[in-house]
Formats: sequence, structure tokens, C-alpha cells
Amino acid sequence: MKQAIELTTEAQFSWAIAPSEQKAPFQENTLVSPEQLTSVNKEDRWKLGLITSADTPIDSVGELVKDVPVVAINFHAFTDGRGFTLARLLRERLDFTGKIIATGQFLPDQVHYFARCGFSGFVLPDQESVDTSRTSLNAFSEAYQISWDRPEPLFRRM
Amino acid sequence: MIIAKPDAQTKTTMYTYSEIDQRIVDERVEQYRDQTRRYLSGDLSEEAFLPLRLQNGLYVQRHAPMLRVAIPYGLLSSQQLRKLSYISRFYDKGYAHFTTRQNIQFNWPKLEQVPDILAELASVQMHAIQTSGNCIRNTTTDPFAGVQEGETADPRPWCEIIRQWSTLHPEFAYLPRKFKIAVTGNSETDRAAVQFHDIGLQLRKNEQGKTGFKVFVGGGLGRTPVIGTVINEFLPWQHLLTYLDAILRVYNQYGRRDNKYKARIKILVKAMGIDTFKAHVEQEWLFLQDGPATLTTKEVDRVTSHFSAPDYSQLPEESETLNRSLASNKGFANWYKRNVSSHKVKGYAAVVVTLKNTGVAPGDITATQMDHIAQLADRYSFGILRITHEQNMVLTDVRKDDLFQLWQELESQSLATPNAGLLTDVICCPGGDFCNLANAKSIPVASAIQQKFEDLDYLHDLGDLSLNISGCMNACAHHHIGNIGILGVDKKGEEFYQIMIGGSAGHDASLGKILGRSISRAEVPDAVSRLLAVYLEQRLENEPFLATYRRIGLTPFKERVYETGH
Repeated sequence: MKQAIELTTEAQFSWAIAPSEQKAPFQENTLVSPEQLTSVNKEDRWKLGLITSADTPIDSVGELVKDVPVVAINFHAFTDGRGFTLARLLRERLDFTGKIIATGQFLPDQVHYFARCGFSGFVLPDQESVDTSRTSLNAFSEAYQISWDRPEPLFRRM
Repeated sequence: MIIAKPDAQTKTTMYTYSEIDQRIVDERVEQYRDQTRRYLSGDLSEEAFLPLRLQNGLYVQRHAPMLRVAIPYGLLSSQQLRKLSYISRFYDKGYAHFTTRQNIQFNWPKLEQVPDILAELASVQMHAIQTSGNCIRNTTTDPFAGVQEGETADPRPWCEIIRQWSTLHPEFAYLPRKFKIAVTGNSETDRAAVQFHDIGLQLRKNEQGKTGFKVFVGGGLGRTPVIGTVINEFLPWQHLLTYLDAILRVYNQYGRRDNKYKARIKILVKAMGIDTFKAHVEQEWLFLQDGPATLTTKEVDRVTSHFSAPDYSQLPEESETLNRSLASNKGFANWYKRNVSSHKVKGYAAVVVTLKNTGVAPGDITATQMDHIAQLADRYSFGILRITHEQNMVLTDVRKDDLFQLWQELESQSLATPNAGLLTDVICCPGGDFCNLANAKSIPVASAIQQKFEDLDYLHDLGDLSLNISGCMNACAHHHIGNIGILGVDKKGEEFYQIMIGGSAGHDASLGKILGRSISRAEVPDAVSRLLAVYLEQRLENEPFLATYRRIGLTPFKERVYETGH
């Protein structure tokens, strides 16, 4: 299921990121690490989001993502392509229907591929990056492969 | 150009773009045009521009940028070759270079003109997408695919299916390292070196006569040469893309990213062990198998229909004209012996046009030669050409009756050197003359060897012998799989060369063994000469160099090369 893509600047981003040393309880609309989320009561988790790095193995967060409406995947380097797989597995294997947001070091020019893999939100450093990302999102009108936005390959749609 | 519609009844002998294929390539050009503009205006940093230009084929080299253009599985039309010729004249210095991966490189394009070059390419259904960068590269195959005996199935449609699947694959554009796939359809002779690729696919039929693939994984050259391991003995064709997705996904998640010299899939397969690696792939595949990416008969038929056989004439097997010319012209007979090979259709032959003239960088071709070959392809071979990983070209469908005339025309353009597969058919990277990475020059070594071994009778007597020269351990010229391999190394700022022997790229894949200490450039031709002397003394009747080496071992060769007092 395709979601509307949200592009925001860091200044406009409505979620806070909990410092790593902070302990529960957390305020509503805070992104917390897997360890922090584990320490929160299950019934309180719906107010929070999970933030995890692009190199996180899917199995280590598989249970946690069931309780949150937002997963933020944070990139330490734009070259770390594991985040693409992580997003697809969240969507296609775990049927995660909440928001998947990219944060950290990624390039506006990568946003097209990210969106195809299941990301639905991007936090960017400034308005210029937001504009570039919008261009990137609309760069291609078709694609060969299956992905989250196109569950069937081109050859089955022709 | 006239673009055949997918539903048109026009017969084609190579894949022609659908409206959507064309649109994707056109959109890519516009995307890159915008990225280049932002880079030149300072809006895009060097670091951010790097992966974007690489994935469009643009390196920044020693003297100038270098643009690598994909020739999908080495197949090219005369019209496309004319466009490449035009690009080399208009945007470059009037020549280009064929690589060992069936691609073509322009050595002197201007960075700001690259978007225009890409637009020119798109106008003839070509592109430079993913010819560099840590992504899935151009798929390669047997340059004689479809025309020679011994083929289980034609690999070209499968290569095109893989091309489409890999093009702008959203999940695998930022892999730990580059990723290369090769396909062969020939169970007797592997001319695609599939066991030296990240994934190698060998088409085969099972006992029920069904088509599938033997899948090799984790082969490669470079710093750590490894022969691929079989991960699947028989993968039914329907599952090709889901299985590739599964392998790539395991690699993308587990491949090392902390050290680029340990980032290729071969290192991962070695580290995990093939059984664990396979278990990961199988587990991943469970989720993908039989899913929507499973190939359909309709799609395979659609792609296959693009590779129809050309309109061959009914000809007798023997050609009187050919036999007469062979008897009367020694030069033609020499060329015929080395550069012409058999064809599955009676009265036809395949012709190798070697780009290995002494004094010219192996694989280099001038714009004039390109135009000339394009014309010859139109006149003699249905307008289609192939590029080989030995950096030569092939006209695959020539009438035997026309061979003499074709040879004369090639001669007039210095394109008829009768050395296909011989010692002087050197496989060579651009080396220290052009490349940033090189430790040593490679082209002058190739030239020195070609000069020393000019005597054709001697070369023909030596027979099949591959010689590969790489200017550094990245091994672009595949020195590990040359019967004789030469590697440029740097010793305290000086260029030295390591010699190895016994490599083979075929189904009997093997890696060359290093003889001993490295030697200076001046000593290389003499060392090669000594290796050949040992071979000529020791060979049994009709025994090629590789077989002699395998029979007698490294020692006699080693002793002769390092013997003093000669």
C-alpha cells in the first residue's frame, strides 16, 4: 500500500529523538532506541516511535515494531545500503503499516529508491534538500522490479 | 531511429526497447543532467556527486573523466556502433576502448558534456547505467551465443531479463561493493568465465528436459582470486529473479562494509562457508519463491522473440570460393585459421576482428575503424556485432563465400591481424598510462611482447595461448586466469612485474600460480620467451600450453625463467 510521502526539514520535524542516556518514561512523539522501547510498558508504546540504525538486523526489532506507529531508520553513511533491505523487510515480511522515516546521513538523490523500498517520510537538513528530494521522487514514471510501491513486476503489468 | 513497438510484428535479432524501456533510460538522462548541473553550480558536494556519477558510468581518472558505456551482454547493432563512433569524434579524441567486460570506455569526455553523451546513447537504446559504483553491473555472456554448436540454450534472452531486473533496482544500488553476473549457455566451452563472477549462471537441462541454471556464487578476481562455488545445481528458470534477489539480499545485509578489499561477496561466502551462506539464501528465498517476481512463460517468450535468427540463406556446407582463396593466399589462410570459427548454420562462419595490433593499446578502436566495421557488419553479418571479454569484436553470421572479400576489407583498415587466441592477442587493462589505481604500466608491456613475437609461424605453432596483463592487483585484465598472467607491482616507487602461469577461464577454471620474484619491465619479454621454450621442448603432440603446464608442473618453467648465465 502506497502512503503519501512526507518531506520535512529537521526544524519542522514533529518528533523528538530521545538522548541515548535518557530513561523511561518518555514524552509522547519521541523516537526511542530499541533498548529504551523495551523498557516501556507495552500499552504505552503507541505514543512513541522506534529509531534504529540502518544496519539493524530485522530479527532484532521484529517484535518491537508491532507496538509503534513509526519506525525511523537512521543512516550513519549514505553508502549503507542495508537500510533499503531493512525497510522492505519491515513492509513486506512483517507487514508494518506505520510510517518509515529516514533520518541522518542520506542523499536527497536517493529518496526515489528509498520510497520504492517502503520509506514514507524523510527528515532533511534544509528546504533545498526538500526540493531536491521532491524532484528525485518524481524522477521515474516506471520501474521493472517488484518493490513496496509496485507489488508486481513490469512484465506482469504489461 | 525506428523503435520497434513490443507488439509490432517486425522481426528483430536483438532486443529493441519498448516505449517503457525507452522512457526509463530517457528519464535517467534527465535526472543525471540535473545532478550534473547542481554539481557544477556548487549545490551538490563532491562526495554526494560521486556515487551518482559512478552509477552513470563516469570516473575521474588520471588525465580526465572516463565514461564507461554498457554494451549489454556484448551485443551491438551497426547503428549503435556508428553512434559510438560519432561520440568519440564529437565529444572525445576520435577513439575508444573496449574493456574486458564487454563495455566501451571513452577516455577524454568533458564532465559537463556527459549528459549530452548519455542523451545521444539513449537515442540508440544505449546507456551507462550502473557501469560503475557498488551496484549490479552489466551482465556478460558468450560472444558466440546463438550461433555455435554445443549450446544448451541461448543465454541472450536471460541476460536481457537480468538487465531489466537489475536496472535501477531500488534495494541493491548501495551494496557493499560492485556485483557482476555472467551467463553461459554452452556446456562444452565457457567463454563467459562464469566461475569468476559474483554470480555465474550456466544454462542447463535437467533429466526431464526442463531448462534451468547451475548457479555459482562468490567467484572473482581482483586482490583475492576465487573460483565460484556451486550454490544450486539446478534452479528452474521460473525462479531466476527471485533467487537472484535472495542472494543479493543476503549479501546486502551481511557483506562487509568496513574494508573495501574484503567487501565482495566472495569474502562473505568464504567467511560464512558455502553451507551457511546457502542456508541464508534458501531461508530468504522461501519468502520470495513463487511470488510475483516469478518469471512467466509469456515474459520469457516476449524477450526471446527479440533474438530471432537472422534470415540465413540455404547454402552448401562447403564453399568453393573459400577453398580456392585459402589455397592461393597464405595471408588469408593464416587469418582464416585463427580468426574464423564454425557456425551451426551450413555455409556460415563467425569472424573475430582482433583489436590487437602491435603498438596500439589492446582493445582500442578508432572512430574510422568503428565506421568501417559498422559498414562491414551491415554488408556481411546482418548489421549485428559482438564484443568479447578478450577485447575483440565478432561478426557472427558471415557467409563462407564472403570471407575472402571481408578479409580484404578488414586488411585495408588494419583490422585483420591473424592472432585471435594467440599469444599476441593480449588482454590488457589501460594501466598506469591512464588509470589512477595502477601500480605499473601495462600497455608498453603488451607492445614489447607483441614486438618480440612477431613471427606468425612461431605464433601459430604455439597455438591457443592467453596472455593477460594487469597494471595492479584489481586485475581488470584478469591476469589470474591467463595461461600466462602478468601483474604490475610497485616496489619502492619502481615498476616491477610478477609472472604467473596456468590460469584458465573456462569450465576447467583454474588460477595461475606465481613463478617467483617479480622482474623489471625490460626482462618481461625474455621471461615469456623462456616460458615458451620450456613448453615447446616439453609438449606432446597437439598439447596446448595449459595442458603441458598441468602435466609437468611449475618447476621447469620457474627454473628456466630464473636461470642465470643465459
